[in-house]
Amino acid sequence: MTGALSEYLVLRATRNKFARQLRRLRNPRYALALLVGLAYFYWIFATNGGAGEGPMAATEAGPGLELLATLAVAGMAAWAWFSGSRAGALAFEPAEVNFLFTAPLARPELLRYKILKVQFQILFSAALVALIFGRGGELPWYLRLVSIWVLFATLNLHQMGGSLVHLAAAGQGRGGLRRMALPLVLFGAAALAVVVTLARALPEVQAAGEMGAMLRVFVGHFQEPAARLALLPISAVVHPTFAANATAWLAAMPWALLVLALHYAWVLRMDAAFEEAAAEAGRKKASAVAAMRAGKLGVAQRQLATRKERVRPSRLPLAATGPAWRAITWKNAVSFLRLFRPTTAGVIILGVAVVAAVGVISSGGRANPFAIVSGLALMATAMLALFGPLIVRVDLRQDLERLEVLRTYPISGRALVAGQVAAPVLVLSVIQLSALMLGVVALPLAGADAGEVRLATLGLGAALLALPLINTVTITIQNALALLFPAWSKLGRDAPQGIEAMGQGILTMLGSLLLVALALVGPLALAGVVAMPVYPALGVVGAAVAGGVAFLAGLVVEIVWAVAGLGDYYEGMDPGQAGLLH
Amino acid sequence: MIEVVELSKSYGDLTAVDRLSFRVEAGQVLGLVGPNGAGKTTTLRCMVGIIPPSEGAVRVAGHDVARNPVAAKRALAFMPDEPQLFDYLTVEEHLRFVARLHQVERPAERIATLLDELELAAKRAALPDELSRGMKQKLVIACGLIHDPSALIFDEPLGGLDPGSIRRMKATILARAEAGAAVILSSHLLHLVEELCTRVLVIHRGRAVAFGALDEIRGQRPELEGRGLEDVFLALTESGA
Repeated sequence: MTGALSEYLVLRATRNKFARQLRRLRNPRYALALLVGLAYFYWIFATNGGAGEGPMAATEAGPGLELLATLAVAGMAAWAWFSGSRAGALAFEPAEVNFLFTAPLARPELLRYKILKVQFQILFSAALVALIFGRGGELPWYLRLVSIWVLFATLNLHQMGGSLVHLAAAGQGRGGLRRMALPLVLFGAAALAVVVTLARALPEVQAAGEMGAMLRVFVGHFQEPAARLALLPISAVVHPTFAANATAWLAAMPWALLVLALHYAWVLRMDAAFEEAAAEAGRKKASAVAAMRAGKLGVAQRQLATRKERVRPSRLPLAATGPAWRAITWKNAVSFLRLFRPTTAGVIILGVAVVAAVGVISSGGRANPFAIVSGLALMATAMLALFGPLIVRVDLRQDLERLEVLRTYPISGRALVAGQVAAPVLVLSVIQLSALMLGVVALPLAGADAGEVRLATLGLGAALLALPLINTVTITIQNALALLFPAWSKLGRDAPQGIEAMGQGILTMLGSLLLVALALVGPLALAGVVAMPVYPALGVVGAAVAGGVAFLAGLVVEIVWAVAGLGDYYEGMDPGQAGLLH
Repeated sequence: MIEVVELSKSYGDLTAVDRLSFRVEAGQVLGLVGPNGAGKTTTLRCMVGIIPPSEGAVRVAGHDVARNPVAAKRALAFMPDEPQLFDYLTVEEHLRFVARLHQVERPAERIATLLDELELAAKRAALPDELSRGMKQKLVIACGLIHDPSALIFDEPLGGLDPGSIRRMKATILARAEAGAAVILSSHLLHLVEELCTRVLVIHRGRAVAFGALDEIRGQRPELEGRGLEDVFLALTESGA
């Protein structure tokens, strides 16, 4: 491929993509979503929502932050060597594999195309990072953007290089490794120098006690010649990003460009047979992107996994006979259990432990870790009540894509909707009640007195009844939105992307929160009407119990009405006209 | 038995299916053929209750699909051309799930038989993303056969299957018809339709342009005497009929 052809392909594809996105804006739905997304960005970056300087521009950040960024980039560069076998940075799309790999093109030309193509994505990421972390300061924004772009482009080339070294070693054995000996030795020596410096610095950093002093000791260690030399190429690329002004930027930029150019030359001169790995990585990436756009994160994870995880057999029983809705609930619950991996639970527990430990340390040992855990558990329950229905989507939101098969099942619309809604309600309620129970159990250890524990236990009892019903209301609303306004749900390939997706997400979240609030008005009013006459005779407790029962009864009535209505709508709808059939 | 009476489906000004009527008796295999965009898929989708017809009625085993959908769907199986499977259910779990929806008696035995028959036993614990296109197609067919339906509707049933599986699939279709099922087979593979089907329905621009046994259709057009289905099809659909 001549250079011109490579540029033609990249520029045409990008131009057509933008043109398609612009055409979509004729549809008010996409236009509104884009406006809301842009308004959100404006609020974040240009108004009080994002007031002040970004950390990159903050003058008081000093060399500490730059060193941390350098180490982070070093970590990412090292990861490229350890994970190079994934070949993710070399992924070619299936269409590119079909047309380019079969064309009479040399490998460097293919790599040049790949490098050119990825620059648009890198520029977009650099712009985001510049907006979030680099706003304000003396250095003009466009210069900081250029330096972040150079940094990301270098990192991307480094990842490609790491993948190519892995592939050369796999394809050419020892001979391949010998050809890569110099970069391997350089990388190994640099990694060793950084690890030794870190190991030497840590005891002194711990002894420093105060955060500012800790950072100073840390930076001091990395001023030593071995560490400076090891990090020199990375510092050279990172430094312009933290430049205080245009003069400093101009002085630093040539070195960054030199490292970039060396990386470019290094990648292009490597002769590793990457085509097979690049095609496989591209196939996986394409499937994962399609799954992500459809809101199926678990599928995307599986597509990107280096090794396919063995499927765990489902332990959920399914009786041979019984109401059909339970089969739908079973199917969705099995889906959730496959999505929710033991490692996810481990990460959550670890996160709670880290937050508790940080809380205790930052209070100088005065804070009670159980009080922190209890507080976190209560907060998690409340947050899940609000946002859980947006996260746990094992219901119609995931199944609307398969209406062609779903509608051939012998199940009434009402039973189907009930079965769909039941699964996420079950999942969310179990998680929330577990968190709540943890919070209540931790209370005595947190030093709460008997009265407080009794009150919390009563609250837990009330939550046992109320939470599942509130979850049912919120999840029914989510399913109603998906069924009545499928175009607004994350469904299929036509799902919006980027700022549009963010705007659409904000709109649907606001809409669903408004609907939840409206749904609670009736039951709350009913609770008030029932509680008020009871209060003079039975007192606060009696009125609260009567009001609570009325509130729950009101929710039940609403749920039954909504599920029946949605079920009838499902039976009568035309999925073809709703755009739900392929 | 499958009965379609004056079936029409319109999208605004566009009439995708126009007053289509036909009947498939128990034991018969009907081939549904037509050029791209003729309305075959829309017809099938109306017949199995995926989309509501604008006019007309479809009855499966005596049950009206619009008025009594649950009873009608208990008697039928629809195998779409594009396998649609649940991302997180294994092969065996798909079959357990569908068996439960259809209230199949002794599902474990039925599942074991179908897994063997369709050569899926080794993949019983696999998720759909671990299956080839052909394997997915087989799973869809296994799900369709699990409740022993009296009406079977196949949309391009041989897509992605290897030659051995194609032969077994043809045998399965014929065996179901011999066992008394009414079968509809929509396909562009005219030699397959000619080989398996007792009757043929040719649709073009949403309308039936020919219906009956191939000999009967040829009898209506003397110039097609002795010609194969491909010639008949092209004569009917390219002559502006």
